[in-house]
Amino acid sequence: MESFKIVIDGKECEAFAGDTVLEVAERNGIVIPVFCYHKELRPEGACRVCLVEVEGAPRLVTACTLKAMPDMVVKTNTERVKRARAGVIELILNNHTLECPICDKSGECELQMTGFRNGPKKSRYREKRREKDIVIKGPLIEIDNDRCILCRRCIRMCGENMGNRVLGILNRGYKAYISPFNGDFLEGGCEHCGSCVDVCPVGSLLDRAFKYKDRPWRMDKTWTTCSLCGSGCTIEVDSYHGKVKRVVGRIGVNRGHNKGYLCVRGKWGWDIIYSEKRLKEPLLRQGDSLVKVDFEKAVEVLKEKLEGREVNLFLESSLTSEELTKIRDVFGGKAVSDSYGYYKLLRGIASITGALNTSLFSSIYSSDVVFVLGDFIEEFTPVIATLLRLAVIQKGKRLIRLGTFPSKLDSVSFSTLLVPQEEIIDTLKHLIVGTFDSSYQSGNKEIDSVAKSLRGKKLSFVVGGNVPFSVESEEIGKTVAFLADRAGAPLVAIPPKANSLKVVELFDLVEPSNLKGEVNVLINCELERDFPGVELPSADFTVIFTPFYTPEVSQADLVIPIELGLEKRGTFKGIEGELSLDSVLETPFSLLEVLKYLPSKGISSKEKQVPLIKEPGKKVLHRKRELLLTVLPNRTGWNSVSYYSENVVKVSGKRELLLNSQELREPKLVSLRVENKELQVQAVPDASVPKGHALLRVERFTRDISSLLRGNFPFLSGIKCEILEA
Amino acid sequence: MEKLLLRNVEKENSHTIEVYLKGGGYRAFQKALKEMSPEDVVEEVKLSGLRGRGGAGFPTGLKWEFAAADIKEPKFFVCNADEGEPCTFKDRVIIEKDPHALIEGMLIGAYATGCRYGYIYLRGEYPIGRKILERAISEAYQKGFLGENILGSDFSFDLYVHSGAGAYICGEETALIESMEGKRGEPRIKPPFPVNAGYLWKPTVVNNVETLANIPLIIERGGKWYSQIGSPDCPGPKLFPVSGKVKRPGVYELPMGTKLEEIIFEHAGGIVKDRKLKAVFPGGASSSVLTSEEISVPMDFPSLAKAGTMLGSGAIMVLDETDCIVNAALRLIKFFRHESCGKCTPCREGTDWLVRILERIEGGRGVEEDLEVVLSVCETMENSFCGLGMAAHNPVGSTVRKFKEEYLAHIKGGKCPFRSS
Ligand SMILES: Cc1cc2nc3c(=O)[nH]c(=O)nc-3n(C[C@H](O)[C@H](O)[C@H](O)COP(=O)(O)O)c2cc1C
Ligand code: SF4
Ligand code: SF4
Ligand code: SF4
Ligand code: SF4
Ligand code: FES
Repeated sequence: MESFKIVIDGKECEAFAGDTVLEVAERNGIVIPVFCYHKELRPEGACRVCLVEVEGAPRLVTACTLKAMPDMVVKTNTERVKRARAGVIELILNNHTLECPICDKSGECELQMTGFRNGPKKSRYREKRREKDIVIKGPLIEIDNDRCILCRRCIRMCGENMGNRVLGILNRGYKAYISPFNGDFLEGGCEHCGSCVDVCPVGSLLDRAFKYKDRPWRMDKTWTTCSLCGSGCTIEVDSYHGKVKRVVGRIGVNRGHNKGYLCVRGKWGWDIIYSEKRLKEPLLRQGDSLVKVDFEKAVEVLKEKLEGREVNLFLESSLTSEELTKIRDVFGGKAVSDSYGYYKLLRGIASITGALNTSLFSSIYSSDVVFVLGDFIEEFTPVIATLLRLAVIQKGKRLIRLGTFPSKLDSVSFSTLLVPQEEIIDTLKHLIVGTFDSSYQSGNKEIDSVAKSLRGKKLSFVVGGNVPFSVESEEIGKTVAFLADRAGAPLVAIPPKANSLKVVELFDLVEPSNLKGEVNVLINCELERDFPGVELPSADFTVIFTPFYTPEVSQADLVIPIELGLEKRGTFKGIEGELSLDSVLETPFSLLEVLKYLPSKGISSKEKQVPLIKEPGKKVLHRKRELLLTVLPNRTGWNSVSYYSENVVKVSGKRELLLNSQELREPKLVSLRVENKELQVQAVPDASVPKGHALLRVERFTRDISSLLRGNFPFLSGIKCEILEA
Repeated sequence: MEKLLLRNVEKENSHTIEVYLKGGGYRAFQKALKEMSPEDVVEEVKLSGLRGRGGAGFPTGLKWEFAAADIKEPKFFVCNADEGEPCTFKDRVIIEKDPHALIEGMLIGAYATGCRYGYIYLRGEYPIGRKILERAISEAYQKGFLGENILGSDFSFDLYVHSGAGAYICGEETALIESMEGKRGEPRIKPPFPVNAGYLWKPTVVNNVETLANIPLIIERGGKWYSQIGSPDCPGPKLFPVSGKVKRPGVYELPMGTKLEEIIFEHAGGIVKDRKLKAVFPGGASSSVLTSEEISVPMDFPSLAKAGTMLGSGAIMVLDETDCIVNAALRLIKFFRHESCGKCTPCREGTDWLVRILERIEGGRGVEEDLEVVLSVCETMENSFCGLGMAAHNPVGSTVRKFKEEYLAHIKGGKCPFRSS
């Protein structure tokens, strides 16, 4: 890009077309105070604290909205500018509560810092302080409008960047205040991503779980990686004397690929550490009951029971790469894992590319058009959905999505192709031809127009959401990889879990029926949640490594407590390469520590070979009169937070079966039938569910859901079902 | 002088299309449509020297040229009929008495700039105007002046009335556009300007009612003729709503550049009870005050700017010797506090602080330092986001500067000298 020069405070600075003066100044180490400006947000020009003097302009101008022009001469530190800034800050401070001693933001408050640097040194305000006295409390967020400086960062963050439009302004002028829609966060559609709290410069938007809990300046700040889904978000964990007080994203400062954006699980799910269900000591079966034992005893029993026996290994995929390597070393390389569906997807992809791997997520940024395949990315990997949205609104990418169910992403997509689930593969095949042949006609105008928008463009492909859990996962993998391969484009396969990629790399993942060992070993899993539809094989002995008293603890012979993600150091193999975990927390137990005592099986690592076939996939789904069922964990569901986090439970979703509003007129109790299993569930008509499909939203995978899905593991989507009168 | 803008208003049923047509109405539009290219129309308006009557005085021909040059489609033509400033009631005369002149002006403008759809953004408190405009629009449809392929040409134009909901800020053109889009009425960052990215981010011309009422005259009689009326660098007839302590308040049509003194003393009949004139706000509620020594100023954009105030909407407010200047300033700044949208700090907070200080002074509880504080708050408000805040402090700052003695009398005397108790 061509650059030009502007002069700021006598310094020649390089600027590019579209840069604002503020951006140029920042790059050159010239500090201009701001309130309403935020790197991640569209400029607003509202607070008027970033005023600068521009040669030739009679008025002062706001640097955050002023586009740099060749040969512009700007001054940021004249007496006039200083007076204007101080004047604005004075106006804000006049009626500000100044509750710094008890305000949670104190110490990292931008009003404190900017006031300190640029504010008036003495108050001239003789009037009585104006009070709005409007405090709006949601389950996890609170707005104290007397601290609000009306910078509107929260509104732009929620409405534009997150696409939720929960927050807005009521009243006008000096009576204006911030409120969620209808005064209620939940009713307003808040997803509790926490982004508004993150960007609020003052102590107005508060994290209620942190309220009055600690002082920002004295906490230990540790950057680590969230282990709660495959987004792999970098987070800051704030703790004091080894106790976690909160998690923050630091949007705009965070160096991770998530840029500081988080979801409700990452932001508020940290309290699972302190769950009452947390397991603290090993338990050993004695007759009908489990009794507490010490670690030496536990290790001793473990060694004895494993000696010379084959194990049935059940693995959950948010263990660190170091733990996984050690697990493979001591238990062998065969496992049942919650990444099995993802493995199938990658195997499909590998049949075209030769590698069981994904492109880096950031590869989408060097394309012009991002083709997204999959539904419910916002539930499975919320921040990936946010990043896709931002790629459109901040980086001007064109997003094209193929799926079956509508998504919030569609509001920013260039086009959205929604087809019945059994037509996904055929649609991809039309695109395989149409994208490269302008004379091709698929018989469907929408497909042809999407093909046209892909033609000749620099493309990237993203597949995720429910696709790894679709009965067609492997075939879809082949087909989309074939298309990406022809286009010479990167293909990003979003892992559902934090370390799914490493699990796939290290282990031979097998069907549960292939496990024929004598000892069951479950590591970090919850059977019904991670392996819905799977029964624990009968074995001589069952060992469970778990952070919590999970339901299957009662079936165990030996239970050994382990750490949670926030208590670990190590790495994940994530969507953006290696992601590291760090922690200052200490636990009396450690998975790696225990495994150290077990003998190595000495398995040599071998590169996994997937035969190259270079053929698109074949359609698996053929449907007659049945409906196709998708079981969808809510955003708050899906992993341990929905079971053990008191914070997250406050905003949890509910279980309901959504059916097309033409197929179901009014809510009623129905019986959902899959093969010969039935589940009684409340059904609700929903216009967004396409005909012929049924969407079962669940907050938790409980026993009844697991029974319904018996035999379908690892699939959650595209399962034939029927609806019967209850 | 010949009445131009008010030529029809005295006629019986002046708001009907029959009366308008009989007086030569829609001839200018037909002339433009049949004999002139859109470029010719823009040229003619540029030649006329017409400057917008909505307050900012932007050259109308130039605005149209920018809009015509933008290739995005469709384009929108919006008439700003939000007239919401205290003591401004000039557009209302045209809306209620000569709505077809407004429609004809819009048609010509839309033809010149290539606009397909038009909206009249009408002040919510003008319900009669709404009825009259809606009726006039349906008459124009019936006569074939609106709709598709107007009068057999390939020019099509549909026109609608959009009622505001009572916010003064929605008169500001970008806030008006936000409001039309169904959003909260708050101004947008400029640039981009509405002519390039307005309603639905498409090119949008926004013109004031009075501005548009001038257009048929310019097309019918020529830009050259028009440019010779009144002040050479700011020509044309102008409506001056005069209120306050004059004997004959009302709307006066006079050439731009008519002396303020002449308007007050000749046309509006002088001061009530022949008292002494004390002060005049010459250009609406947000203009700086003029003292009785300063009223020989010609009423046009450049002359008033030179005199340190502004023409604004042209609304003249007259105070006599029995009026308290502090109270007058307080009333005005209270209006702006109430109408501030609250988007930017200087206006949102500045108006409130000024109100509170002035309330104290007026109530006899002021201190001398207050005056310095007032002036510095006014200076900060200069840096507001939009014209409302940039100008709202003018009546306060200018009265503190020009009537300091009266402020001090309040402060030192511990009460308002104009109050008996
Ligand atoms: C606070 C504020 C209120 C305004 N109110 C009006 C109004 O009521 N009517 C109007 O025509 N212009 C109003 N304007 C001016 C408009 O923004 C705009 O400049 C004008 O409509 C353009 O038309 P013109 O070029 O024909 O004057 C207002 C401006 C500001 C800053
Ligand atoms: S938490 Fe997220 S969704 Fe909720 S109001 Fe804040 S930004 Fe909006
Ligand atoms: S709540 Fe915070 S982010 Fe929102 S407007 Fe107020 S100060 Fe700004
Ligand atoms: S999106 Fe995933 S990785 Fe990111 S904060 Fe949420 S749960 Fe954690
Ligand atoms: S100056 Fe600021 S607060 Fe006042 S009306 Fe304009 S944008 Fe709103
Ligand atoms: S930071 Fe520029 S106006 Fe607020």
